[in-house]
Amino acid sequence: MSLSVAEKSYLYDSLASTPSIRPDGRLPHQFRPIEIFTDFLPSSNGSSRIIASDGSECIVSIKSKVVDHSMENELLQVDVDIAGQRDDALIVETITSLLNKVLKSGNGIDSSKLQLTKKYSFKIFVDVLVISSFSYPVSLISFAIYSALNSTYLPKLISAFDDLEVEELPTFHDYDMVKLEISPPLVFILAIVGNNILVDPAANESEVANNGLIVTWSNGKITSPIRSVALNDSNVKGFKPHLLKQGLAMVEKYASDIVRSLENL
Amino acid sequence: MNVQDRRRLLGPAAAKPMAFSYTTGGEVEKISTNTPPKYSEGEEVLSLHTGFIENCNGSALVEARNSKHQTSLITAVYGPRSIRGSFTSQGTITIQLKNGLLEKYNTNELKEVGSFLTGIFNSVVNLCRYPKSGIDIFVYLTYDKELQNETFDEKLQSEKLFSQITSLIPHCITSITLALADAGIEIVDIAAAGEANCTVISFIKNGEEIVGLWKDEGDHEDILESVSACKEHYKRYRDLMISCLLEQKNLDAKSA
Repeated sequence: MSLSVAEKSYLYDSLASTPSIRPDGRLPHQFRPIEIFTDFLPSSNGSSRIIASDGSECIVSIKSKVVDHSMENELLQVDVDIAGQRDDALIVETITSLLNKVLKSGNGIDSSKLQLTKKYSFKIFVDVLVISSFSYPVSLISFAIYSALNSTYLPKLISAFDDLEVEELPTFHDYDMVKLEISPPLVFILAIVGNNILVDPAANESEVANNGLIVTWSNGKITSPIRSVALNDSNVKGFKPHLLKQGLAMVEKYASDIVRSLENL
Repeated sequence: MNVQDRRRLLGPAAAKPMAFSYTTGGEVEKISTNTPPKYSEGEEVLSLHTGFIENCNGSALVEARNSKHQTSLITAVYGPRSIRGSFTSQGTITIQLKNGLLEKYNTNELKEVGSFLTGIFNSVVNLCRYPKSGIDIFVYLTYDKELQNETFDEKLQSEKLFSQITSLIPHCITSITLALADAGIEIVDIAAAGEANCTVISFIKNGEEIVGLWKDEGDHEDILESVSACKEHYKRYRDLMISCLLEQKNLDAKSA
């Protein structure tokens, strides 16, 4: 979205005023409406499709593989593809690196939930395809990953858990599947405009934002990674330290509501 | 065997290569400090060095060493130089981080740090002064090594591995700020960053404004404590940078 100088100035003034006036009439802590469809890819273990009200759309597919967990450090791997961007584009690599850190075992993912036997574990491959995006898509992607992992079913193990004594490969039931019980972290994007903090900035709000914050929420608390992020190239400025505290407090207050609504899908 | 060379267009038999005389005067040579000043900051020893690469507009070398970690990085700034294409009312910055010989960090992570640093310097450089131009910054990690401790603690070692790139970011910011100053590019204020509890916070305006925040480990409770600790580091690094730039200026004035 390209706004004129006058439009940017008008939008900035209204967002920076007290109380802030957002162009779509949302409150500072209010998200845009989203539509989520889950479990629609028959060849994946779990999948989701998320569509934001501005037309941003993202598809996530979850696939699994049995690996020897003594050989693999990370049991969850994220790969991001953004339509119209090269695989080595800055935004693609930045988001991939961030999401891999978000889903790193120990942070929010309990790797013991992926363990099959004493020797083998499931390795989860999360493939993200951003079909269209008009603002910074990390928050949308993380919601899609959350709902895809919550709708993931993995094959049921029928062989013994202890396979160190007797060497055998894990054997699975022909039809039965088991639901993957992990609680993936969520990522929230906050825009800082003047002295105001806004959750889930739309494209036009991102264009005038002075700065942005990426905040990760996992297991009922804020956790790392936490980052500042420039939401545009032209209007980036520093922000007062008290806004950081304010932003974290806002996420703490409203994140559990978002988690509840995503769980109720 | 005397065979005529038919593959090249040869000149006359008596042709001699052209010889140019050496140019006298007019050439500006950047003089770097031969003995880099060393500044000790608590346990950490910092060595700052500017203007030692001739074919770029500004350059800086930052070497940092403490009891656990030793790092060295070179920054080169090219620009402002004109960019082709549509008119842009203000300059654009690109920052690229490159692994040294060690190939320690993966490309994804380096690009993520590069993107984070671009965000910081978009708010630090006075880009309105450079319409229709680009400033390209290259940071080369020449050396980055954990120094072995006698007391080997496995948990501590794994924590260190996570925080390695985090501990590198303040030095990248110092190095880029020095190189920008060396290139004569207008900046709003001297930006620097401090690290505490695996959190890096970058400040400007005497610590009144945050321009960058990076946290890879731990919970958010310690962020607010980290702000004051990082601010102390920021002030120390900023003072060191200012004294380094002043020393450099004095040396330039003496040699002129």
